[in-house]
Amino acid sequence: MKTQELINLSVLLVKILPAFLMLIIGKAIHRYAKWIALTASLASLGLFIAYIPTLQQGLNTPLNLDYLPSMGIQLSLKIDWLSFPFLLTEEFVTIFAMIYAIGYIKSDDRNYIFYALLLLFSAGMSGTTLANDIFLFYFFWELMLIASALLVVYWGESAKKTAVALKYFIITHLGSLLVLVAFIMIYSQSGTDHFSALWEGVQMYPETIPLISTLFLLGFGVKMAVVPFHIWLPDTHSEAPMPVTIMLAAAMLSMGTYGILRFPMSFLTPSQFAMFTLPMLIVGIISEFYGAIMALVETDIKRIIAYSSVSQMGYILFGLGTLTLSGVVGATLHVIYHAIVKALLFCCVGWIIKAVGQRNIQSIRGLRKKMPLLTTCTILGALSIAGVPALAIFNSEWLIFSSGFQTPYIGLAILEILGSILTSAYILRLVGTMFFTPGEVSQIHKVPFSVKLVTVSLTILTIIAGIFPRPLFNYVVKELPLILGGGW
Amino acid sequence: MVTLSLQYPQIPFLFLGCMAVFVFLAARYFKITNVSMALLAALSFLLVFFYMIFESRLLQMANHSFNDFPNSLANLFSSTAFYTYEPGAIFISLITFGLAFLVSIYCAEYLNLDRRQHAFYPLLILMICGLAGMLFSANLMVLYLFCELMSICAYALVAFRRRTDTAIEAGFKYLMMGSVASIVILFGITLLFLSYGSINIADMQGSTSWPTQMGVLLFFAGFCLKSALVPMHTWLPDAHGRAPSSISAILSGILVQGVFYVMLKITLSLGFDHVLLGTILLCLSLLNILVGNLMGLVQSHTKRLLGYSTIAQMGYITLCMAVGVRNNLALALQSGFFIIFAHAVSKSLAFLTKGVFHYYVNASEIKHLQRASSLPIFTSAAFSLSIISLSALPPFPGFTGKWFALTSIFTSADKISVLSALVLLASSLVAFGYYFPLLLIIFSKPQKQLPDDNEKGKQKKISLWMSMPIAALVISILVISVAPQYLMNITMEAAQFLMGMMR
Repeated sequence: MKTQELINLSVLLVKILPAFLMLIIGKAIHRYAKWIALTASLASLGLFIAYIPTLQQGLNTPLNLDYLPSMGIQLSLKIDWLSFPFLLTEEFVTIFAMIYAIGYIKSDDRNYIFYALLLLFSAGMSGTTLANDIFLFYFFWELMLIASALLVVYWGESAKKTAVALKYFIITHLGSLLVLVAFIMIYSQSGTDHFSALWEGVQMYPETIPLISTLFLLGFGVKMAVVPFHIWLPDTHSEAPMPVTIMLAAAMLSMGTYGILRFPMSFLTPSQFAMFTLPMLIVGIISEFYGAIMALVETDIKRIIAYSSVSQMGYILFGLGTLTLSGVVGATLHVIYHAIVKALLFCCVGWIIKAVGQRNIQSIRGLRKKMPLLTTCTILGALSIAGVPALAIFNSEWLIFSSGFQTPYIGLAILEILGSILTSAYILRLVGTMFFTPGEVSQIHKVPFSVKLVTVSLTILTIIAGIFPRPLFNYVVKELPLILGGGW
Repeated sequence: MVTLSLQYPQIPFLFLGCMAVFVFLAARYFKITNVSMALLAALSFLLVFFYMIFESRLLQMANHSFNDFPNSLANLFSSTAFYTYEPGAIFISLITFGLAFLVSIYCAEYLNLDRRQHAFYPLLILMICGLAGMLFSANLMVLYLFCELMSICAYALVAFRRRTDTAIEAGFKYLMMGSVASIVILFGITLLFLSYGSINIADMQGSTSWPTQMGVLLFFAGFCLKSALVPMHTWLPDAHGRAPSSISAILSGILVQGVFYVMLKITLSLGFDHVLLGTILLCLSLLNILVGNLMGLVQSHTKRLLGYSTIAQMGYITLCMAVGVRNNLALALQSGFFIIFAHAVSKSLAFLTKGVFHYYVNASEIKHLQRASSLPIFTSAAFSLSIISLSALPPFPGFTGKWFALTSIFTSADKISVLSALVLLASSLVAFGYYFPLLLIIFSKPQKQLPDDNEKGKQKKISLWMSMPIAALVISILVISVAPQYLMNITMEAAQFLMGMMR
């Protein structure tokens, strides 16, 4: 095994091993749990960044391990340009969430389980993107689900947490099972579970292709939480503790996008996939409108941002559904930008909840004068999600909107643009009510430094990402040949 | 390639029979302690286990030709009474002896709850002997005798806690239903004997007269009851819920599956049409899956819940076997064997850890499981590992087995099988409805301190006798998760053997 191949594995192991170490001997080291977890995620990011030159030289060979040779199952890990943007997002979001948690989560003697689960959750996501075979992909896909469900169960914020976690688990697992059926159908036709073997030599029965693609789209749609599979999202996001919410909203939702890019889109030809264009566009628009409208009428600030995710996933699905270059690139960029902005907005909401102790929008008034820093950050986040130029999300929205006009469905493209008005409406309502309506909140509590640190750095990142989209764009465009491998 | 055949399959049963008598006498007249009896039983299971492994390997490799086993003992136990090449039976009996070995060690401590070890160990040994004998019998009368030996010991062991009414009730119910099944089986055997004039399975071929058909059908029906196929499952939740945990581990873990395998093998070799058999089993398996999973949702008693989970898992096994038999598919049979193993280790682990909770913190209801927090985290972790494996989450053997099952079903391209695979998937989602709360409750902290839990933070220690078998099962689950290939190789031969049985 070469060093370059081992990095694939070690990106994962630096998270998984400390997590298990903490679970086993956690009681003894629970004081240092947060620092161990933070170091582990930093190390993982460091290894990943160290791998980028290899990726640029095209030396990214997979790491293969035999698992069940007689059944054609081989475990394999690989970083390629398609997984790159998602892995990047996930690694950064993990670090921000970790730092945020250090201040946000109260220290007690069960802390170590929290950080261990957070690491496992993160490892599940990196594993999903790193996996180069179906078996491992599904394993990490489930690890991600279990770890996050356990985090909601034990650190949920209200008495409903068990019910919410069960709902989250069952619905998302239903999606996983649909994906599993599609996997098994591919695997039983091709006899191997290795991605590259699948892409090169796959000879599918033409009549099963629509069924397999439908199963993939439905299964990954549940993870993306597009309407009508969004029902788990608002409850789970508002119930989870804030660092977990950040990871759920900013990183985990995008795994559905990754799945759609990785599976149906990269092994089917555009003509095979063309039949799904219209349904994807329509569902995208419905999600966009539905999420925005629900965000407009919600009163719980955490749920408002949660519904905003449903709306944003609608944009992404629309971009993917256009099956055009700018649509796919726009959707991938949107994943990254949405991660930054959504993390920022949740950080701000967490800050407000910590400071005011309230979650109802009606009882939070006039924060502008007392908390200028928070006001600046929230306004920048809000403007960004509303699609104001020079801030992060504008760039990807531009690409997605323009892709709509490259399809025959001009009417839908116009509808998509009109939908963004609703986005501005709900986010301005949020900002306007909390910061600019006259009134006073009775008491402002002290907010931990780490919360402020993360919020401010995400704000800066939003501005940078908006002004200099070029490097990211260049990286993301490189994924297209991989999808083109399917004949695009 | 492993080769699984035995020159002298009858030796283990003779040995175990002698050991049962010896243990009983030793307990009665020499008053030996519980621990030494447990070790004696464990040792005998271990010896038989290794006998099976070494004889099936070494003799085959050396390619010796031995003379037949001397016929002097009794005609019944002549070498024609047993299969010599029977990989499926060897596979299942290895699991049986392995489990029985672990359970005996476990009982060195656990039996302090019940005492009366002079009755317990002989019954246990005879039950295992009966099961193993059934697996290898090539003669319907021998099969019936061993089946009765196993069943009667099982009835007695279910009702072992004779001071509790519920245990007596469960044992009695099991006895009544099991006896009806036995009578039906005996009637079937009689009809078969009537039309063939022989009790050797090898002689029973070719006849399509009505007594033969009827005989096979009765035989099949009786064994369906004994292997708890819905709607003849009603005894199982009671029996497995009320027996001592150590016994439930064996009953749930391998006994039901062993009986099912015998039924499948003999019915096939008696010339039952394999497509028809597959279709019947397919329907029964769907019922099993649905009833087991739905009833599991409403249970409040942990062991009853595990019993219903066994019914559901029997459904998965039956489904795999049914698809294999219906479509002549070795991979489906292989996945059936794989799930048998996966289920055996996971379910017995669940029962053994449940026994630990019962022994130390008296937790038998699901809501009392949170008392487990005063035990070392190791037990809760082992319990959740078993539950996770049962609920088929990757990468544990439960998932790998289901992966093979689904793969084989989709390969078969048989519409009915594919539809039933979808039922399997849907119901495994339902199963999370009862598995998931178990996981939640085991790691949640008790709401208020129990009255007898005064010394806060002081953890109870678990006896080594109980923790060692649990550790062994945990390790075997982990090993199979990491390297399932070896198990696949063994199941391959068993599946090939069953394929050969189809005519």
